[in-house]
Amino acid sequence: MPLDSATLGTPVEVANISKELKKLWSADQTRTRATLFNFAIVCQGGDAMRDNTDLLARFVGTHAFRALLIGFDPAAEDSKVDAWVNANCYLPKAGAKHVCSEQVSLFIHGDPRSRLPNLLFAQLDYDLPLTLWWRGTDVGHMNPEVWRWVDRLIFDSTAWPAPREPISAIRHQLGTHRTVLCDLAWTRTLHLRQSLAQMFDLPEHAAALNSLTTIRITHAPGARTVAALLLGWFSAQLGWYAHGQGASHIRFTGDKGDILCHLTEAPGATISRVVLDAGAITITAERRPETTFLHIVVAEPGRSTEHIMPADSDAIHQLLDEELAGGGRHRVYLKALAAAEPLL
Amino acid sequence: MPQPCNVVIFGASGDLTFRKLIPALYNLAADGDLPSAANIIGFARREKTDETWRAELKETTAKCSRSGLNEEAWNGFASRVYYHPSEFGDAAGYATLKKKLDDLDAKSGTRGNRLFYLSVSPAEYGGILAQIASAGLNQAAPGAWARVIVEKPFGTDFDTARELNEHIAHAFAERDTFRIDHYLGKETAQNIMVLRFANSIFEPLWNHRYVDNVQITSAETLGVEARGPYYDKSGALRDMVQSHLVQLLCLTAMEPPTDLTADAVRDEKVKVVRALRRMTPADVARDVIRGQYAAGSMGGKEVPAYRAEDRVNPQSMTETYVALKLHVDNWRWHGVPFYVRVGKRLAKGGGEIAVQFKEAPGVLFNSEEAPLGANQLVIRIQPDEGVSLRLQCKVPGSTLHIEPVKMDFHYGTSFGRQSPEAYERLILDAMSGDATLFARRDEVEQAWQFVDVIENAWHKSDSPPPLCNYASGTWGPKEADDLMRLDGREWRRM
Repeated sequence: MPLDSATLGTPVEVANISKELKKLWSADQTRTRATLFNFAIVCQGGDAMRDNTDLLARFVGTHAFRALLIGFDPAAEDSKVDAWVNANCYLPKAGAKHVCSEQVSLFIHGDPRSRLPNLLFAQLDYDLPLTLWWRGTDVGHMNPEVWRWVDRLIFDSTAWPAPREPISAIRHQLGTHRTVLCDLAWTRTLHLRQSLAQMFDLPEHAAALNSLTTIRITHAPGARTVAALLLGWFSAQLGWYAHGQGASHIRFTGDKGDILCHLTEAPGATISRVVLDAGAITITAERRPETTFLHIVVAEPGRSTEHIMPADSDAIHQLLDEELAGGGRHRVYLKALAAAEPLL
Repeated sequence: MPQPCNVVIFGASGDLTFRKLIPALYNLAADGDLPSAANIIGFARREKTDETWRAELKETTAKCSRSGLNEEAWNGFASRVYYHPSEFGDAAGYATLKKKLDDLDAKSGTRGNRLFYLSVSPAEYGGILAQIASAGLNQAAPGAWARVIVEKPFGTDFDTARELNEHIAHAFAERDTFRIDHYLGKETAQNIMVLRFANSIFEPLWNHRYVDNVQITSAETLGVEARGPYYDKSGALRDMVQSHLVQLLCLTAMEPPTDLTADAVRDEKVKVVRALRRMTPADVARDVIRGQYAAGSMGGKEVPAYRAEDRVNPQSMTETYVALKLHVDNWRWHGVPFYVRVGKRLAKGGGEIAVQFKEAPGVLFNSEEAPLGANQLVIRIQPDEGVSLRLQCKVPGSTLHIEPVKMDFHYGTSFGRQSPEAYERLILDAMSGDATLFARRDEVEQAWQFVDVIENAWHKSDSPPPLCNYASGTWGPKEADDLMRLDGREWRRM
């Protein structure tokens, strides 16, 4: 499919990108250049270039980065690289200078592996961390040399039909490297996890954590990975061990006995319902259609309490916003991933 | 102050003359910095007239000059440019040169001052210097001066450097000898001393108590281009480390000089070279990585391996990349490694000095959730000359996440005027008799003594360390990363 480059900016020679960026900035003195990190998006196909450009433009007011949008078409017959430069700007307040971040877009025709490292390394703004969002379908297209340069690697394991293999490949490539793995499937349950954890903050409920016997999770089609990671989170944080698994259930063993977990697929939000049976307490967290809140009901003998908590967004730009704003390491994700791996 | 003089360029047909020297002299003239009584005389073998040479120079100056070419300024400058055809070994050519210089002195008031610029192959230096001396061109009239600028390489090892220095010493006194290293003419290289000694916040930290390591990098994206025959005999260690990088290391590591006179500064620099820990062959095997570029991809295009380059030996063992871990054995730098790397066909071009400070104590923040990074002061030599300081900063929000941010200073945007090219500054200094930014004989010879140990370990040993390959367009061989990793460190990203 031909590449629609109308939104990518000024076409330039790859060798002249630095020179063209300088021109871009010197042409207009009413702009301030803002860069705190390098943000590279690697994606496959021409449509993805356009979609990601739209996405990048949404962050200009909230995150200051040099954007490197690198697309590739491994099936292309010719072997060349096209390049564009552009600036994404916003006006922080009336009368102020525009604050702008630059965007370098590259499109690799043919196999990207041998050309990606140089194209990426050469365009990084020096001395700034690199966040790379891998949006390709096959991690095999990534040159291993690139992985070691990445400070934060963002990916969305829900986009992979069989995520176990690519996740394993990423973990294998990075080994014990300092790269922070940021799985948007994990980000999708950030508020849900926080909300569920809060339900056990009350001293009278804290002991119920050790009495969990059943967890039932309802997830949207294609979101099994998200549900599995949520289960992995319980398992890792509470020290459970998996010891039996069927198509839609898994049995863990904790200090106080077995915990049976059920996964059910149903149309709706990514995670539309979580039910935790913990002895005398039952906690139900529900994401109803058309709402941005979680309704949580804590049912215990003699009373029932309802909580309204913010729900996770399914919109990709909001998930990314959450991830870019965060920082820090995702230690718990790695533990949850290890526990969830049999379910993936 | 630059004084009136005649500048004689030996190697008038050479690439350096066309791309660097004449554009530099033209820009000095256009900016009004070249003394009004100054002539440029090109000395080369090929027969051509003044007019022909001027026309050739005009064409390349228009391309290479930092300020472009102004017709009026060029015409004024070109009227002071002459061509003198002669073989370098022909005594008669020097006799006629002397007469031409005398005539120009009389005509334009250059007062008998002469600046000879040797922009030729080092093999020609001895012969040219001998002819200059035979013709008496090195003897200035009372009240005048005769100086020589010598381009690197200053020899190929300690013995040849000493031989070259002897040739120079027979013709010119050390105070009239200007060994040029264009790196030192760059604005940021000159700024190193200002940054260190004119700011009270850095110097107290500039020692082993606070500095964890120093990294000096000179990276090129280009391959050997047309320099294959020269480069294949030289290699990165001789071509870059012995000269440019040792000079930068000296400016970074030296003690404050007593004053800013040339000898006071150079005394301190040479102390650093003397303090460089001499390596044993085992040290070389452990602490020096040599590499050669293989085929790869640059800017999306395939590029050939070094051994497939024009006029390069297909079995060449010449290094196009070197990474070294050095130690300056004095009180200030005890235990602080200096990592130096230089290479061709790397991912990105640039030169910088990065001083990495020790990490702050982690009692408050040193959890895995908020790892601390080290502060880094980076002096960028090229491109985009400037200084940046990396700090740790709290990410806005209710939780404590720490991320690095940097404060940046760019010469290009901060002062609103273009920095002069390195050659402009250095030629003016030579005209003024200020040798501060030029290498002194003992500096050069000491640097060669240090480098020779490494060269010998590579080329005169029965079991030399391996020559590591790296793909063009990357950041060098994996072994260079391992050199850092073994110390628990990483190369800085540029």
